[in-house]
Amino acid sequence: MLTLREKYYDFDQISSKVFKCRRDDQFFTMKIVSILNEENQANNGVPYWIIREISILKELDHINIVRLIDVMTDGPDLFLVFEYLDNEFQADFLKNPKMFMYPQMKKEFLYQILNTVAYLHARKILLRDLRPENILVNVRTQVLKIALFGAARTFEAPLEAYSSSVGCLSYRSPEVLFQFGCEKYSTPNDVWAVGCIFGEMLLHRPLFSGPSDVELLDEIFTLLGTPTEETWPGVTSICGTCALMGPPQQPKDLAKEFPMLNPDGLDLLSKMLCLCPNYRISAEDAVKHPYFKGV
Amino acid sequence: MAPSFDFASSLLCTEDSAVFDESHNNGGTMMSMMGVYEDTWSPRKRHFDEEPDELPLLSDESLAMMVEKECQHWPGLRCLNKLQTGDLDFGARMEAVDWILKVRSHFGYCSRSSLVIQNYLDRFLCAYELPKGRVWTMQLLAVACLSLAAKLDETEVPLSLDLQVGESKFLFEAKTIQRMELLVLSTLKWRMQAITPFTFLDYFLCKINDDQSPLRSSIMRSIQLISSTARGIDFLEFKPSEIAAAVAMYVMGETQTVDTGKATSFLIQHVEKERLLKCVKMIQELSCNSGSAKDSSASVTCLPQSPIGVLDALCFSYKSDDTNAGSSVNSSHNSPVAKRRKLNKTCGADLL
Repeated sequence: MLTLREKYYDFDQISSKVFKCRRDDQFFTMKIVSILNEENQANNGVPYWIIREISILKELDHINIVRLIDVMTDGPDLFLVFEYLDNEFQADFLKNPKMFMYPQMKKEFLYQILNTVAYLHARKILLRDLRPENILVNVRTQVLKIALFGAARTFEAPLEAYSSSVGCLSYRSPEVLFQFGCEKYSTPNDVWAVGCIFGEMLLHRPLFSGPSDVELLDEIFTLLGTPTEETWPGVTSICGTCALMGPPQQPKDLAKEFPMLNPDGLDLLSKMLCLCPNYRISAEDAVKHPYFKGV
Repeated sequence: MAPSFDFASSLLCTEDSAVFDESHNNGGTMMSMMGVYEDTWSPRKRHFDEEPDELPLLSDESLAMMVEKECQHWPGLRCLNKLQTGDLDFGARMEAVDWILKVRSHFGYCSRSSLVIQNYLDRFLCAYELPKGRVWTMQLLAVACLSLAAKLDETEVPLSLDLQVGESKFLFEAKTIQRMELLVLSTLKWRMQAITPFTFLDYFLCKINDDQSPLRSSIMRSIQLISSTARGIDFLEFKPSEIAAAVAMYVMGETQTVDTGKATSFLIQHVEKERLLKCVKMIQELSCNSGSAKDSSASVTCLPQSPIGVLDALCFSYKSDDTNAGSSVNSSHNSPVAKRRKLNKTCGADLL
């Protein structure tokens, strides 16, 4: 087997542990991960987040997912070789002002995100940390890339408790915010995050931004109404204490909150932001929604 | 106006439901709409109370993709052949598997974990030749595979040293375990997303139950049976999808809730009929030998006895009211820990 330096060459440093390099006529991005430097992991072997990220990326082959091409080890270091994304790909795609010049571009990017989520869910992979910071976008080619799979994991029957402190708070679904004692959730959580991103594309600000679970839930219920047993069967047993619910609130008219959105878009948004996870639209169904007709 | 909005919102939610495929009501009077409202809500509430949380089922396309993919991760026939010809040490592998099952039980890991660990173990053994005559290498491999599976799937990952519970002749340093972990990872090309029978179980159970979610008891029974197949080498010849299909068919047939002919005609769209029937028969024999579903204590099985000679009965025990469906009862076994020899670095260096 070829060693690292025999296989790749022309190293050019991008940041402290990220290099651009070449093999034949192709460029790659190489990311160095040190296994031994992890303070708490020094005596516990290869860190779990590395294994999860690499093993999941190894299974994926999708235009909208940053592709992991090779993994090499050299002593205490791992070298992850990714496809090269040139300067045209900008991180944190909602910070890019060009995004909002063309309404069709919003639709195109939303479609790509949902298509990617559907692809992952079909492979029983949860993203769990979908947010604008993890999305890179090339405005010229209108191609979007999702990076960073450290929080991703697979799901199998029967559902079990997963780690609760996963994902940026603003994009966390109500069922996750409710269940800090029993973190049992699945694909609808990812779809909720996409719904939040959709809303953010439209409003130019995060849809929900409360600094704590309680405040975040209040913002959610202010917009979408306080859930009831009719709108979310089982919700009272899930939330445990009614204090989390706050005083009953009626849902706002989404058409007035998002005046720039056409009826199909409003329908899709309301289905992605459906409070009850069992009723929330799936990514697979969302990509077929009439809103994307013509994409 | 607000009440109408609430009502419409509810209907929109109804349409999104992945559980029930209900026809649309495109018109009619307010009374009809109210009727629809009442009719659609009752079954949903009842369903929610009775059944576990909904899992997103594999779509038909996903299933086909998973079946294709499982061949890449399935060491079965190669491993079986090596074991039968003596290229692989049958006894050493059996001892490693027994140890894995005990440790899994000790930490309360879900049933899937033991199958994942065995997947790693067998794939590694087919791809890499451990040095002959060093009995500790199989144990080190088992520890590394257990550690990797725990890191990949569980929310709590014990320290490497804590993983080495139970009767083990050797105690490995954390650094040695890490080097073995890296060897396993690179040998398996970091493809650690093992496909097990659990990947397919929910799909098959649901489909042969007329697209209705199966009862929790059926899921529990299926988990128990799939876990039982991990012992011995008899089921190595079957792919995960074949084992899942056979278990689903057997369990649903056992409860007399489905037409077995109908179930067979569905399942053979995905797995070969002859292999399915053969596997069902073996599941049946396994089930008879391990006692009835309601009997929480395991009896002697027909599977080969491990070299240790002791069957961990608790690995086969499940309480029907266990809320943590994936875990077996924790072992209360308090035997004194066998004396263990601590290896120095040179042993690890020789191997890695």
